[in-house]
Amino acid sequence: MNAADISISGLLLGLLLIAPTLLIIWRLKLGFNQKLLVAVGRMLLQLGFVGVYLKYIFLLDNAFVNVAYILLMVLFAALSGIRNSSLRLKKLLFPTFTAMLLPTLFTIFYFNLAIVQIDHIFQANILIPIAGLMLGNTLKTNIVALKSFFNSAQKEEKTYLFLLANGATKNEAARPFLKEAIRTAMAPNLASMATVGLVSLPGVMTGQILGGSDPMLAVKYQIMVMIIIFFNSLLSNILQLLFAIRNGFDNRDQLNKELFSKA
Amino acid sequence: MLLAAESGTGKTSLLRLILGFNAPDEGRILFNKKVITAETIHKVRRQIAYLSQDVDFPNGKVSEVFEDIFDFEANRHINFSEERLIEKLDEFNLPHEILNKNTSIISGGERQRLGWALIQLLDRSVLLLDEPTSAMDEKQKQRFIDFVANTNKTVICVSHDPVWQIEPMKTITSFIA
Repeated sequence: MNAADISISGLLLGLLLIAPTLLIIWRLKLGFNQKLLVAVGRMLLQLGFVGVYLKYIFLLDNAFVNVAYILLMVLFAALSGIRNSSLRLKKLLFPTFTAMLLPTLFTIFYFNLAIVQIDHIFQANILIPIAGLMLGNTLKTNIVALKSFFNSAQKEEKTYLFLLANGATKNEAARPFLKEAIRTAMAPNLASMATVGLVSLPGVMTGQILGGSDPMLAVKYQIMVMIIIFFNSLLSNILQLLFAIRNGFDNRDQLNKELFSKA
Repeated sequence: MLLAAESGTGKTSLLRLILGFNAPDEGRILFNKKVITAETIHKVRRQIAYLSQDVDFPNGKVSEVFEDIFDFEANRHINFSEERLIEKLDEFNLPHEILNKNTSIISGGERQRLGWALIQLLDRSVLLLDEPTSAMDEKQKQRFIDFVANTNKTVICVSHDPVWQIEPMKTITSFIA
């Protein structure tokens, strides 16, 4: 069983819905018509490319190409993560890249080997979408965690110094910020796990059901995906923050204010 | 040593220099005959207990905050227990219920006394105190002043309060630029 195809005329009719959307935005003077057009344009371009090269990558299904593709995804995730946290790129790019890459590689291979138990663990049509799912989520949580961490480190600097002056190492003195950052970053994941299925069907399931899968199979995938996403985000979060502590303070353990001047 | 110079003359900055939060622009600072540098500062800090003006405890339950501080690698050798903390609470007239309160809701005077409990339990050889009795009444103050007067620790205290000008404290009322 396969998903019903969408024909060219169908696609065009779908895109036609943008016209009344623009009209409404214009009438209500909401002022984001231009932004919407740019966003739609980018979406068409980006997904169009993704469609084309994924088709070839899946056909080729070469382990090296697949892994290289994942490395690229991680690099883009790391770049956009730092940019979105308004931190300086240079010092944090490599640590962020590592903090995203290591857990993702571990989790994806665990997923393929132990959970889905496929023979070819580099299989493109599983490796790439699942890594994408994990990275998307990890990216979100890492941005929140980094922001929250440096925010409290700035706001509660006195507490940090008080602990430092009473015997703490910088890791120990920064631990309250670390805990707070992880709690804040992971809260949405926790909430979405607890309410999944009540309001809307989650993405993986929806996709599989549309693709013709049995709902029970779709549910199994969804549960596994939520667990690996949670695991991966938590691990990446902790690594990311430990690296941030390493790089975010000078050799006298003082917060490195240079990190905040926008690059 | 008592630093009682006017506001804005750098008393708190001096404490920050000793703690290595800032590096001196010129010259050097010796601690036990060794220069304070980025390399030595961790050793130096392990010998200091510090009370900041607002006693900046992290947010959390008082009992847990104390447990965390005594769980620092540098403090683990200290014989700390809730019983010892409770002894200090009794000594400083603090109610036992304070252990279950959050550090963010306790009063300034209580914070200061908790801060004193902390530095007495830490039992370091050097105490850096920044306005350590500003939120206390005369009777409470006297207890801590007596403690400092009778200790053989090195104490550097910032305070404008004349009651701190006691023997054997050396009072400095102005820094020469």
